Amino acid sequence: MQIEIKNISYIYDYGNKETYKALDNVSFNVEKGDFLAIVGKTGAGKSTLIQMLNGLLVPDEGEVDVDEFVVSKDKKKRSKKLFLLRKKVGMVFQFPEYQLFEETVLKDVMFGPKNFGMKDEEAMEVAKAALTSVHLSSKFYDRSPFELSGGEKRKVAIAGILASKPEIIVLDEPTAGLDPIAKIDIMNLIKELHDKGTTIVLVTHDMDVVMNYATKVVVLNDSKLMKITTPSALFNEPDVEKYSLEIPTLYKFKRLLKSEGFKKDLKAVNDFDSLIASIVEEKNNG
Amino acid sequence: MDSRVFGKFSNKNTIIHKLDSRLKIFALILLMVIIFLNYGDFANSFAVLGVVSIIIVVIMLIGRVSFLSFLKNLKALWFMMVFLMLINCLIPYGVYTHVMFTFPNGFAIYWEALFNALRVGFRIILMVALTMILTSTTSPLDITYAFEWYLTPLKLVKFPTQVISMTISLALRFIPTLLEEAQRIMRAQKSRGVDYNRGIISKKIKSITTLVIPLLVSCFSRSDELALAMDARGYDPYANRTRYRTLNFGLKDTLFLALLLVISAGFIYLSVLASNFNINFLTYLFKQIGETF
Repeated sequence: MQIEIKNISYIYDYGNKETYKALDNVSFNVEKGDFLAIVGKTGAGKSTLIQMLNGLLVPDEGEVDVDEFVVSKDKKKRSKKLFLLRKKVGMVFQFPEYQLFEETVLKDVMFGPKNFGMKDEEAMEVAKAALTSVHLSSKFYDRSPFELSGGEKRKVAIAGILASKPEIIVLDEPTAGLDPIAKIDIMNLIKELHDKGTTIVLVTHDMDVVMNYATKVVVLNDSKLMKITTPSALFNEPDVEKYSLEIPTLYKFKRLLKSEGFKKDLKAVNDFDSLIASIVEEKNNG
Repeated sequence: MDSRVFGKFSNKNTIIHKLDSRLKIFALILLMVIIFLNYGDFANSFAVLGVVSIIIVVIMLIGRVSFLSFLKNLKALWFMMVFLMLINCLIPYGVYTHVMFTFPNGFAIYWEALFNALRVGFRIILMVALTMILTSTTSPLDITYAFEWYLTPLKLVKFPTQVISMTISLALRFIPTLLEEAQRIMRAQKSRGVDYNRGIISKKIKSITTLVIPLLVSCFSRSDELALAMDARGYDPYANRTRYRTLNFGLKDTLFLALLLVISAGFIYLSVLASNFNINFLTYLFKQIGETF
């Protein structure tokens, strides 16, 4: 088990006795190589949860274990060098392009590795490799990150995280505000990383993304863990709306077919190809 | 970084909150003048500042200003305080006579210098308290209205007071937004291995740039967007604006103004007595009390 989340709770204190419980006794595990999607409506506690994975926030109760690191309020239990946890867990926040600050793209990507103790030449090498992996060619190296397009900026920011060679990558809505092509680009990039064996934790509102890419899904609602399951099992539930989630296009389509009197059981049909096949089959059967 | 540090406005139903904001600004200025007046020797000064601090504490209690956030505000000033203390002690000016101790090379540190530094520090603390009372009991909008009102005489010389007040209110409006933004950027940079709390000075400067540059960039893009949004809604800086809320100078404001004027007149009288006639009113007072009993 790579990430173990044990009974964590977190309370935001706004002063004047105004508090808000963002997480309430949440526990689940993430295995190495998982592609985990965290879903839930706004304010469900998703962002709070992921910030604990690299020790930016510390849970008020319970603990988060990432391999040998322990994130806990208890100072005796807590790992001394949470700083190194941030190398292990790469965090891509919403609109990561806001973190760019260097004069050139290459320098910005080198920044992370250098912070984690790499020498200049070594950092430059991993930075170039990271930029290649996000499909940015060498002509970008000396450009200012501020003159790039939105999608390119985001790729540079993601490369800045990849350069530190994290074993786990946490992404908070990586496709928010991008056009459809850039969106597919970024998602394919994440899929490539996952195929290479990186554990992915992804927060998203896009259920099509969950269906197409995730191997596991965690549903949060009102600060509580509702479910941890596979995407197809989740969307095949008849009352999935109770988690305030949108249903992916495929499942909407399946429901529509059912209500129009489609006979074949579609439980096992979880992608468009087999859906089309079963439609053709049913049509041939008359 | 916490947004509460800046003495954020907290809406409570107290008489201080209800006072006219123009009056509150006037009172702030007047009380600051009182704090910085010359009251002769150190004993007098500290006595007067003590009395003023009692007044300020009473106002804070009435206005239910949080003492905790006041202390937090002061914590941010520690560097300035230390700096003041050093400068005041090491660079004596005026006629100092009481030596605290002498360095082997003959350089002396005087008691007066120390007291002077303490007096300056005391004054600054009181000033911070006053400003905090204003900002935490008056909504930013009301403060802007008051500023605009004070600027009205400039209209005679065709000065665009409305533009200035719109700029101020926009600036105030975006403080919490930018703080939030700063926190977001800091989280992202921390994830890239920046440590904002530790490290040697050169590394710290580098960490600050990782925050400041993205913040500036987003500031500019935000202001661009805001300008477009205002244009799209037909904002004309020179048009005559009407407002939803108007400022009313009521009976309680008049009473408060009278009280304020009496108090300040008293302090100014003391100051004149002390500085022009060399009367040490503390000793004078004790002598009077001694004679009565």
